[in-house]
Amino acid sequence: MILVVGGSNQGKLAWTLRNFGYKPAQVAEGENLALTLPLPLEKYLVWHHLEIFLRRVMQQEWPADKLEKLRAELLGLPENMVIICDSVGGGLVPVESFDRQWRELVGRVCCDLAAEASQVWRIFCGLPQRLK
Amino acid sequence: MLALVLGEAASGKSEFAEKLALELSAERYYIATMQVADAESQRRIERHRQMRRGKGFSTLERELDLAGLQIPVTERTAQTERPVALLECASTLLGNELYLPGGAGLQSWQAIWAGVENILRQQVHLVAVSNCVFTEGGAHSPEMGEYLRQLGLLNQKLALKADLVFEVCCGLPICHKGGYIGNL
Repeated sequence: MILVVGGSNQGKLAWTLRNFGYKPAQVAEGENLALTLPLPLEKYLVWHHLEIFLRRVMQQEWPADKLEKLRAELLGLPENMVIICDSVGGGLVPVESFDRQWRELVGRVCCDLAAEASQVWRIFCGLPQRLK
Repeated sequence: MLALVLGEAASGKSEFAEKLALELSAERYYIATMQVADAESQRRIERHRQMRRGKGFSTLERELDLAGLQIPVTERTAQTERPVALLECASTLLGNELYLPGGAGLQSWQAIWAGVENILRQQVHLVAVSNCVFTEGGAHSPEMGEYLRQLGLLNQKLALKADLVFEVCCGLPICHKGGYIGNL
């Protein structure tokens, strides 16, 4: 699996499609991907907005064993699959506990994904920087 | 030459951008974009004025319509040298275009880009300063979302076309594009 991170509105998806030669139809959106396991990703090569998917998972209050399965699936995604995730940890500590837990989860998941990934990229203003 | 200098609030990006402008030319213009709205903006403006005092910048006030800005034509001391303009900053200008009467609204980032092209066409080096405000996460109001969307597109366009892109962190430059210049 390949991880692409960076702030919002930095051109991460456009760069990913260009760089890897993938098509918009091959992009799964974190906002509407079904919240089921195994993850319904067969038709896709790019998973956009992982941070939003994780927010939806939190809203559903998945039990610990289901979260563990999700984690195992994430880390075992195929070699050519690109995960795109917004960096969300750059602000002040959020007032709401839910938001604090969410940005913690997103940050930790990205660290775990980066450890497993074959490539890690950070996109800054549309400019790619390879971190791994 | 187009240079883009980015950073978070109070990262030292303006001071770095000024140093870059000093390196680029002896004839220097400062494009000031901030409206004097209240005592706080007045203090910020005064701080920036102090910082660039003695550095030889002529100030051009421009709150809107960068595309209509004419950089003064002067007798060049060295005929071969282009003047430099420092745009401080693209993110303030975007807020003006989006929210002030007479601004470009939904076409704001394109209007500012047209303004950048206008300055470069006048054979002037441009150092553009802009803000990094994209990693806060969480929900935004539709207005904030639109500002972030347009600033993201503007920054990307500037970065794509720039010869130099620096991110400044604690006053230290991180080069994202182009070479290291001089002794900065």
